Amino acid sequence: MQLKSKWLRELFGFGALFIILSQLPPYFLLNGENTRLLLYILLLLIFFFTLWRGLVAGLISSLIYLFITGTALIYTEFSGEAVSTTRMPLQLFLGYGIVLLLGVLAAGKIQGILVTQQEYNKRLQQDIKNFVAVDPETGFDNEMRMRLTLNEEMRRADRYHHTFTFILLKLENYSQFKKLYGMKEANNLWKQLALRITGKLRHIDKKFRYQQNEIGLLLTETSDASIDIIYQKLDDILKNHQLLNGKWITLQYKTSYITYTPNSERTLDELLGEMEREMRTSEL
Amino acid sequence: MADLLFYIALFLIWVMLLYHMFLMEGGYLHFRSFEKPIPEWSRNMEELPTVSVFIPAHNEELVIEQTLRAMSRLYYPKDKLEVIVINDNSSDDTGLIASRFAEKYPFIRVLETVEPNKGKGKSSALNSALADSSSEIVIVYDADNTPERMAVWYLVMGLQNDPKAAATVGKFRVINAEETWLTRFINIETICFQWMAQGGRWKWFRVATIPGTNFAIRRSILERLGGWDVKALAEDTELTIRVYNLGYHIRFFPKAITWEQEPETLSVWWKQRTRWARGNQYVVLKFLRQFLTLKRKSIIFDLFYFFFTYFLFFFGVILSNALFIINLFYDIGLSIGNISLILWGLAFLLFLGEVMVTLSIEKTEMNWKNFIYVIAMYFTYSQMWIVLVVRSLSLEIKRLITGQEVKWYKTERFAKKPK
Repeated sequence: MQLKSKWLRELFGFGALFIILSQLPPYFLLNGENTRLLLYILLLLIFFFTLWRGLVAGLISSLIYLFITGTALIYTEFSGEAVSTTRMPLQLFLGYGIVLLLGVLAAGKIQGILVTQQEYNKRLQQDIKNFVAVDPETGFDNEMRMRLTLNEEMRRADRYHHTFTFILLKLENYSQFKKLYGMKEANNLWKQLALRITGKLRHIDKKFRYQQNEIGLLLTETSDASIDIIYQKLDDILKNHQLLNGKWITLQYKTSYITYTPNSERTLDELLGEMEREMRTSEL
Repeated sequence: MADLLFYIALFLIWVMLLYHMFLMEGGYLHFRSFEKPIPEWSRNMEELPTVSVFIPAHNEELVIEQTLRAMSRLYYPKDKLEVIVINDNSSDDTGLIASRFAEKYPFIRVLETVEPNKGKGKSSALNSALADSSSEIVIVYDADNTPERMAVWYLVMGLQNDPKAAATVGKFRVINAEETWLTRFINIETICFQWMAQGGRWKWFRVATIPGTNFAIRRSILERLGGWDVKALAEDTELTIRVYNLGYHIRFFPKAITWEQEPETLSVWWKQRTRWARGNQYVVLKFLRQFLTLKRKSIIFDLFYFFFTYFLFFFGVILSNALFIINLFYDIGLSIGNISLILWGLAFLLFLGEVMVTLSIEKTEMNWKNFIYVIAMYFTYSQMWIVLVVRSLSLEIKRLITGQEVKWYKTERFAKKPK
């Protein structure tokens, strides 16, 4: 398997170095002495700590560890209490220290690569979410985006004491339409509806494909005083539709709307639920 | 006796190692936290004070143009900012280049020094500009500095939000780090100095040193202190001690960044660092003599830091090296054995580790190339400092005995090389 991407190659390189460095000390340290076994275990602990917390944390803990170890060695030499098992030749101490620092560097680099990849994946996932937040048939934002936008708009309205109107339009008998005319006509239907709605609304108004057969329209800075006019305009553009074969048909909609007033203390789900219930009896 | 002296020397070195480890951790903690208050501090930047930027310049034609270009792009209201190029007895085109900028930008002007302050060094030039301006805040940049666009803004932000701070000090980086092996060493050294010495001391002791460039100080404080000391070779360190003695502190705020040129040849480096070492030794001796009369005893941390570095630590290193070498040729009864070698090994490992921590803070600097440079630095650059400190101490003692006048050495500049 060829490692084509740079981060994989780096991970492989530093990983190999890390394994070699963690295997080197036992060759010199593990000769039956408990103290040296302890040194090896502590070295491994610092390596794993670095893999967990990153390069700088690993380096700082290594320095504290080296200082304590070095001071202990100096003390044992100074006091003459050194027993042969605790004596450590300078070369071994130096080599141990260098392997520790290099191992921490390698482990830190591995941790850095993994964290970077994790962040990159998160970004990619977010990009995908944003990308598929657009409905392909209408070009409107989808339900996920609609909920986010409505929540934001509600907060903005609360903060700046604005009102906005949100309209839901449900296309009746959509499943029968699809059965009768096919997917091509269904796609064309949404495309035409989207074009007409976009042409009629202001550019600051937001449009959403809420469900399979429902559209949401967010009209900012709008109160219910003008709702009749809005419905009339929608009726004019949405009622009649020309099929691809040239024939005209009449479409039927159910609708409901809310006018959000600041600090109404209702959640989005409550408002949507109320609108769905109201739509059962209200036609465009 | 030899053993006792050796133990003293080793103990001094061990204490210094411990202190630097402590500083390094403080520096890292400061790095993690220094940006957090900025959103709140930004709200205090409505009523901005007037600022004068002083740029002392003596024969700086090679670098002054890029410096003034950076000044022209500073983010600060131009009606509250003036940039004063203090043309101090230049015999090259410094004045001409600066005048061209002054014609184009109304907030930039040129001040020519006059007798008796002409050609007397940086302190004297700065005092001339102090007398010729009236802004609330004074900021100083060396003529080879190119501050980042927000540098002045952040320096002022530090002062606006910390009424007990007499001055704010930013961070400096090396613009010509890639040029020679020497500038690579200096680059590593400056990164360590910023985060260990400045950041570490600020974190633990609320102490920072004015580094001579990229700092802002309140005019009222400067005037109370009578300006800069013209006798001091390290006017920045000398000013630092006097500021602390007044009861204020100096804030280290590394968000304000400038890029400066460092010596590319050994001879220029030697002369510059000798001046710094002599200057700092002068300051330490001056204020240690006055220790009992110092109003703020906590400044002793700063004084002891310099005292340790320039006297005790190097004394310990030189003494231990000397005893070790003498013992090779003449038996002085040295029986220390392994201890000195272990300490040597420990010092080397801690040096490596501490430098790697500070390089990790400046993300792009922690790479394998710099790792090799750090190892080489220990055996070359660090040893050069020992020789330099000894020489500067001997020069300083000679000056004290003979009473000779201090001569300011102006650091040679290097033209930007085409890529």
